[in-house]
Amino acid sequence: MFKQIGHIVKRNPVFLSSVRYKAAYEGDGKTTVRVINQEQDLGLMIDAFATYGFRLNNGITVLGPIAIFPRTILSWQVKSSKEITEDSLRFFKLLEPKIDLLIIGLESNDRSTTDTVFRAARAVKLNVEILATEHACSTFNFLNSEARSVAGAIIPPLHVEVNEDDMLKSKLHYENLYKKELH
Amino acid sequence: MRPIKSFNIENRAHRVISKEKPTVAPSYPSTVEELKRIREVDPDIDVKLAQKDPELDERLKDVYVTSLGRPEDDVTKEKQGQSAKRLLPQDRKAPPDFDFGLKEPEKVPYGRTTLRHAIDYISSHQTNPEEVTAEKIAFEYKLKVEDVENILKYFKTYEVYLPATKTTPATFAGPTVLRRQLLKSNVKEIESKKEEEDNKQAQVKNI
Repeated sequence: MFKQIGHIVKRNPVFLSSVRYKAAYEGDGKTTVRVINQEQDLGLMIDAFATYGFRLNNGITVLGPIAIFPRTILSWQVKSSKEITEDSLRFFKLLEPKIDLLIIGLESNDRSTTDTVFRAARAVKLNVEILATEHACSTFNFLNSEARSVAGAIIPPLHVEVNEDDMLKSKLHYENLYKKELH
Repeated sequence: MRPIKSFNIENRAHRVISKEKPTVAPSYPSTVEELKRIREVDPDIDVKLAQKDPELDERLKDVYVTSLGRPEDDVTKEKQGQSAKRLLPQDRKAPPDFDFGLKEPEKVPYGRTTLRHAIDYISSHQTNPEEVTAEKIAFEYKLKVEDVENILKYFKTYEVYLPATKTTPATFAGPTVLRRQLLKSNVKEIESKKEEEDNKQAQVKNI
C-alpha cells in the first residue's frame, strides 16, 4: 500500500510553488534580447578587442591602449601595465564632472603588477576596478549603458583566444561575405 | 449547554415568526420614567405632536442663510491664476544628450579640467607643440604645470586613417581637427564614393 503511494508520488511530483516554472526564457515570441552595443544613444562601447587594439561600436578601430570615456576616446600612452604610474592616472582624477569609477584593464594577470597598479591608483585617490582586459571591456560597456560616470583605461591583451564566431564576425565587419563569388 | 439551548429551536422559531403582530420590545426603564414625567406635565402631548403647528412654520419662513465674503469659486480661480506664474512643464521631451555623456559644469574649479577642454588642448598641443606649451595651457586653463605635462605625456588624440580600398572603409580612429581638415581634401565625396562602389562591384563580377 505505502509502496504504491510512493510510486505515485514519484511519478507525479507535486510542485508547491509556481516559481519553479519561471526562467529567463519565457517561450516563443515572449522573450526579447537587447544588445547594448548596438544602441547608438547609449554611448561609446567596445565591440571587440585584439592584440593591437580595440574596435568600438561606432565602427572605428583604435590602436594601442585606450582611455575611454562615455562619449570620447583618447589614446593612453602606456606601453604595458608595468608602466602604469600615478602620473599616468592623474588625468582621471583632474576631470570635472568627477569620475565615479575608473576601470583599468590589464593585459597581465600577474599579482605584482596588479598590486603596483592598485597602489598607484590609491595614491591618486581614484576609485578603481582592476580587471583583465576582456572583463574590463564588458564591465565598461555595461556601466556606460547605465549612463554612469565611468572611464576606462584599457591595455590590449597579449593573447586572444579566437573562436569561429569571432572570426566570422570580424570578417563580416570588414567585407561583405555574402556577395563574394565562389571560385 | 448548546444542545439544550437549541432544543426544538426550529419549532420555536416558526412560532415566533408566524405571529401576526410582533411583540414590541420593552422600553428601557429610564425611558419609561421620562415618558411618565412628560405625560404628567402635558397630558395631551401625543395629539399635539401629531398635529401641524402653523406658528412653527411661520418661524421657519423667517430663517434664511446668507454668506459673507467672496464665493469659493472666485477664490479657487484666483489661486489657479497665481500658479500660472509657476507653470507646469509644457515640454515633456527627454533632456538632450550631452556631448560628453554627462553635464559639464559651468565653472570649473582651479586645478581641474573638463574633457572638452582636455581634448582641445591635447589636440592643439599635438598639432604645434612649440607654440602650445604646457606652461601656456596651465596658465589658460588654471592648472598646475606638472599636471598638464603629465596629461600631455600620457594622453594623445587619435589620427584618422581611412583605407581607400574597401567598400566599407575601416576607419582608424579619432579627431585631430587639423588632420581631419588636411584629409578632407583627399577624401572623396559621397557621390564619387557611390560610383567607386559601382565600379568595384563590377570588378568583383569580372573576377
